[in-house]
Amino acid sequence: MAFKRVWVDHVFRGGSLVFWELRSDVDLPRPYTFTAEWGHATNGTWTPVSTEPVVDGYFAVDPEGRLVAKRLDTYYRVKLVAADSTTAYSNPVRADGGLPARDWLIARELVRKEYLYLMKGSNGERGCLLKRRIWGPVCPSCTDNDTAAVAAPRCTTCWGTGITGGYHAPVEFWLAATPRNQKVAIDTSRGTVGDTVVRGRGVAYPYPLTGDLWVSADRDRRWRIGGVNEAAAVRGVPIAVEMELALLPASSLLYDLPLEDCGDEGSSQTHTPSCAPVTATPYADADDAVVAAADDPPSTAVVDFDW
Amino acid sequence: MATEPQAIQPPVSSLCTTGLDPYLITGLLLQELREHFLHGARIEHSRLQGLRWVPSVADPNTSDVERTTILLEPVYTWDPRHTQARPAVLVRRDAVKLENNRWMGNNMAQPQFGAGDGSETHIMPITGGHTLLCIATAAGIVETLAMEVARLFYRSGLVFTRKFPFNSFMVTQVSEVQRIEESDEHFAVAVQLQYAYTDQWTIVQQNPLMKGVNLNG
Repeated sequence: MAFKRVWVDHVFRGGSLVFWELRSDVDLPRPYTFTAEWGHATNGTWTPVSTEPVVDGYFAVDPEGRLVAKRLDTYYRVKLVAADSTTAYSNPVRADGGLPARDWLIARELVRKEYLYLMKGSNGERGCLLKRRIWGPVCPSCTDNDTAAVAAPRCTTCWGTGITGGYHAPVEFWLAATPRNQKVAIDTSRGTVGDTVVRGRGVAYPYPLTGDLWVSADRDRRWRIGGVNEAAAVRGVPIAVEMELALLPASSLLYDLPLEDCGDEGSSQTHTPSCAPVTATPYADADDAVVAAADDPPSTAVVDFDW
Repeated sequence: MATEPQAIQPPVSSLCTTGLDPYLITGLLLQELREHFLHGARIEHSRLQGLRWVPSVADPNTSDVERTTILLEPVYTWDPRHTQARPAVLVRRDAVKLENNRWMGNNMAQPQFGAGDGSETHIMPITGGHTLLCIATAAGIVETLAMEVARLFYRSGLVFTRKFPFNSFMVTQVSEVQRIEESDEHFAVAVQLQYAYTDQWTIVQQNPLMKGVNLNG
């Protein structure tokens, strides 16, 4: 419970500022050493933005421009090491920019209500979000030597993405989806098709992007995320998103993608999709930063709203 | 020592009784595709080795949905179990053109007289084509798959014309890669086949000429 808030003033060409704020009741032996880390997913690989940690400071500078396209998929988190080696990590935050304290409180309340609607209402459905890898080692099994494009079907090394591993580990993601149609028809160019597409709404954290997967936890239905629209935002910082989801056909190789490694609420079943506990939100840090041993950093933090 | 010339005769085919028709050609192409993907030995590109068409135990003319990893079906086959199974090669008949000889009239092309009994033999040249729609989850895969399919048919085109009563059988085009909107992002390439064959029939005079003309009037 060390961090109250982390926010990022993002600069495309490099020089992004990562700010943090500790809870007032943190009383660990000083000095505090902070290291800002960045990654492409909330539960992916984390890399320090600088080799020089910040001692007893409140911000760090990321000198690198991390984005090379329009997709804002850069996340930051802050690592705190106290004098007695106690280590704490902040929740990962997306590089969406900072909010003034009042707006931040409003945003946090909106997120709380979104979760209330999803988790306590009858529309929400628990599932897992799998962020598609967009960088990393090129798959040695299925990619073409000359073009590096995926050229072989049914590859279980990259799951069709061309990047080894295919997808980041799943994280829990609640979604309220519209009812689905079940029409199956013959298309003159595609054979028997059943283009089941629904729209879903969820909290914009982690931020789902086109190409990611969402897996219904109770039904193992796997959906490809299409277009994503921001449904609610506070001063440009997204709070909730609406997205198109297209049901993958049963023959899709992605139904073979194992999900048993994501630590589902103690479940030992391997055939049932499972995922990490409720993902943190950038606006809930006040209650839920996780303190852990240095050799056991959390992949995601737990939101524990007081409903 | 010289080798005796080999006499190549068109093999007797079950098609002899019925002749070719477009729907029958759909089945012919489908069988060839299924035979190709039945055994790994016939698959040329190493990246496609994992693709298998497995016949159903109960009915060898249908696919085993559980074990088949490439959908090979006519495009109009209705089977929800196959919904959007990919990769796929779907067989679709294109337009067939009856090459009527307009100068001879009555849709009868090139009458051939010769038997001396008043009968006339006619032929109808028919040209047409099929499209093999290759669909896969990535552009690179569908490129590989489409060329595998195209090779299969352009290399066996001559065999087809000998084995079946085609006058010509050829692969004429492998289309560009097209992106299609499906549940997942898929890509398609159309392999176009064109062929020509003739339908032939004989009209035999059954009654004397002018039998129906009343001369008593």
